[in-house]
Order: sequence, then C-alpha cells, then structure tokens
Amino acid sequence: MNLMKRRERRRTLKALLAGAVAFALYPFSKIAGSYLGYSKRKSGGKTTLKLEELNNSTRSKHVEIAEEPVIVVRANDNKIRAFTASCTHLGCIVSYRPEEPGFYCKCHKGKFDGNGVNVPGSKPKSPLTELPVLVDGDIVTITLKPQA
Amino acid sequence: MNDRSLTLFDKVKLDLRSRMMPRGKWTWMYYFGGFVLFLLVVQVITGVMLLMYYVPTPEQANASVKLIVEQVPYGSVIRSLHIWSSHCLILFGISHLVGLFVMRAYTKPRGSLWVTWVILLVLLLGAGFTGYLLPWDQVSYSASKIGTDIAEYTPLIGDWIAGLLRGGEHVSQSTLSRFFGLHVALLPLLIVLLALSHTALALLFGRPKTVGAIEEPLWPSHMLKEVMLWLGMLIVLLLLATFAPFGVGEGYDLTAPSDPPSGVHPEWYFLSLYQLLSFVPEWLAIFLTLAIIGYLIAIPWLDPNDELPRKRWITLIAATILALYVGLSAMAYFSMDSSEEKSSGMLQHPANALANDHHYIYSYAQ
Repeated sequence: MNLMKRRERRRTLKALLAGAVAFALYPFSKIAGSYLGYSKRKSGGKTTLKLEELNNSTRSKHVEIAEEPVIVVRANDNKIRAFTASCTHLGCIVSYRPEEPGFYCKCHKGKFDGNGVNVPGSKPKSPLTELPVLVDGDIVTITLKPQA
Repeated sequence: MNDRSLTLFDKVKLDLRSRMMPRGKWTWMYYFGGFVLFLLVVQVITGVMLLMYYVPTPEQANASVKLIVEQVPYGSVIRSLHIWSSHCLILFGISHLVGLFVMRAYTKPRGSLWVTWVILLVLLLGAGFTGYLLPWDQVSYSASKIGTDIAEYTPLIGDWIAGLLRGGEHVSQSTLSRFFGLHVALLPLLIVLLALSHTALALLFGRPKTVGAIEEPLWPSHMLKEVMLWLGMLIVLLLLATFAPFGVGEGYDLTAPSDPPSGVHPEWYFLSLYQLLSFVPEWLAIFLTLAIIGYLIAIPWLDPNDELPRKRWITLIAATILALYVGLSAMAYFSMDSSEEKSSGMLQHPANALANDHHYIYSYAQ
C-alpha cells in the first residue's frame, strides 16, 4: 500500500515537473516562431520597358520589381497588361500563351485565363494579381505597390 | 535483475543513480561545468537563429545585424541572448577551471579532463574574438584590426599568423569570411566536441577525492537542482537581453577608411591582455600569455599524484595568474575613466559610450 502511494506521488511529481518545463519553454517557442517567421515587407517599386520588347512570338516579357517576378503581356486587343508571374499554386513562374490566350505554369499544369483568373479544374486556387500599367509613347511603366 | 533485460536507457539511469555527488561547503563549484554545457546549447540555438538573417560581407554585415535588431520580431532579444550568454559562458568557463584546480581534478588519471577544459577555454576566447568582428561596425572593425596587429608581434611566426587570420595585410572581406567561418563552423564544432569529451571523461573517471560528509545521487537529486538552476539562468539571461540589450554601431565602410572611433576596446575577458600591453612590449605580452597557457596545460604533469599534498609553488603560480588576470582587468577597467588619451584611443568607459549613442545601452558595442 505504501509502495503504491509512493508510486502515485512520484507520478504526480513527474507530471508537475514536465508541466513546469513546458510552461518555461512555451514563451521561447513563441519567440522563436515569430523570429523565424519574419519576412521582408515587399518594398514595391517601378520598372520600365520598351513597347517593342513585347513584339516577340509570346507577346510577353518577364521583368522583376523589388524581387517580385512580373509578366508583361501584349493582349490580343493590343492592350498592355501586367500580372504577378508567380503561380498561386506553388510559386513557379508562369508563361503567357497568346493563342489561348492565357497563362500556363509548367510545374503542375496550372492554368489562368487571359485576365489572370485561375481556370477551374487546374491546380491554382486563386488568380494572378494584375498590376497598373502606364504606356507613354513606346515606354511601358509597371508599378508594384508596397505591401501594407 | 539480469543485465540483458535492461535497455540502454535503464543502464544509463542506473549508472547515474549510483554516482554520488557531495553536498557541502564547496559543492556549488560542481554546477559551473553544467552551466557551460547549458550555455553552449543556448549559444548554438541563438547562433543558428542569427545565421538565418546575417550576411557575412562588408557591404551587408552591418545592415543585416541592424535588420535583426530593428526589424525582425524579437531579433534584439535573440542577439542579446547570444551575446549575454557568451559573456556568462566565458565567466563560468573560467570558474569551472578554478573549481577543477581547487578540487585537483587533474591528478592521474584525470590529466585529459583538465587539458580538454583549458583548450576549450582558449577556443571560447577565440569564439568571442571572432564573433566581435561580425557586426562590422566601427568599433568591432578597429578592435579586430588591433587584435590581429598584436598577433604580428609573435616572435618568428607573427606575420604568418596575422596574415592567416586576416587573409591579407588588412582587415577586409577575407578577414570577415575567415572570422565568420571560424565563428560559425570550426570553433563551435571543436568546442562542442571538447565539451562532450570533457563530460564523458568526467563520467568515466568519476569525481575526484573531495571532502564531503553528505552525499546525494547524481540522478535525480543533483540533476534536478542543476536543471532548476539552468531554467533560472535562462530567465536571468532573458531579462538581461530584454532590458539591457546590445546596440549596433555605425557600419564601417572599407572604401572610406576612418580613424578608430572612441569606444574601441576589447571585451572584458581580454582587458588584462590590453593592460599588460601598456606595461610591457608586445612580444613579451604574447610570450607571457603563451607561457600561462603552457603552464596551465602542464599542471597535470607537474602535480600528478593525489596521494601527496600539492606542492606550494604550483598553487602559488596558479594564484598569481588568477590575481594578475583579475587585477590587470580591474586596472584597465578603472583607468578607462580618467585617461582622456585612452578614451579617444582604445578604451572607453561605458558611461561615455552611453552618452555618445543611445544604442549603447551596455558598453560593449557589438
């Protein structure tokens, strides 16, 4: 009986000790979590290209604004549009297919239509983001807004 | 119980239970070694976390440390934990060495136990020295310049050693790459290996003869206290890191060389060497430092037999070394205040640093 009681007490003490250690380590795991979770805010910015750079067979060009990959396209109505070029599925860079028209991601056959909206049934579940474009003569300016 | 039915874990537990630790006047000394092991774990964890944002180039090093301190959530706490625990690490490393000496934990067959710790301590100082440069600010740049320049005065091989450390004639990108590699790869590897060997040897040899009427098992009684002290230490370190964080100085621009700023000084554990340099020529200071390390390593051979009492002169020299270390450090620290010349040169009193820049909450401008 005495032995049973002692075992019981030992078990309780062990549980208490484990609880104390967990209690002490919990804030540190929180600190580590937010420390490691930091990512640089996108700073935003602008880039320019010449209109004639979009005269190639794919009618598009990849550019980079503040580390963000961007694709600029000359749509079939000759309107110049720009979208974020990272596939919303797993981040591969998409390419433009003027014949469809639409965007295609090689990694998992992800598809977006000409407006950057994900095609139902393909892997991506959200659309590409369209960026404001300003055409002045033959100079195209694309603006990426800084992240809030 | 037959041996076969026991798992390895059971065997370790039984072994630890059978080991007795003394409980008495001197037993607080038994905790310092464990403190160092715990602080090494803190160093590795916070060090790896710092590595995630640190960039080891002269152009970006300072900015990346500033990013950690100013932008990354809890970055200042993580970095200050790393620095504060490095100070404690060296303090308890020295304390453990003193403890080993007092307990004569180096007589036959424990020579390796002692030697591993002396080397570990030297490597810890090396880790402190190399880590000091990494923020690449005006103060750390100049301190590394002075430190590697002193190495030049080593007889015969001075230029070679200084060149090896710096990767050239001046502190530059090569130096930063070398110090970075030493600080994050080679030194931690050697330090952890030495600490583990030292611990394994301590378990192998058992504790040396000591006076202690009352005893308690190493597991769980002693370990429980040790772990509680570790948790307590973690709380103190966290408070220090939160309320006395380390700032980052202005970055050093290699393309625009400038005078050493006021506030250039070595860390406290190098202050005695700094003070010694003001009394004796550089080559003599280096010779004395090497002689002290040599003497410490030789102690197990000078006093091998614990059946006989320790010879007087062995204790006397050891006590002189400790007194010199503490005395010279204190002398350097207290002379920082009064000497104008020094505050514009190598050393600066924490109070002046505080006035110069509110970031310098603590004097060591890392």
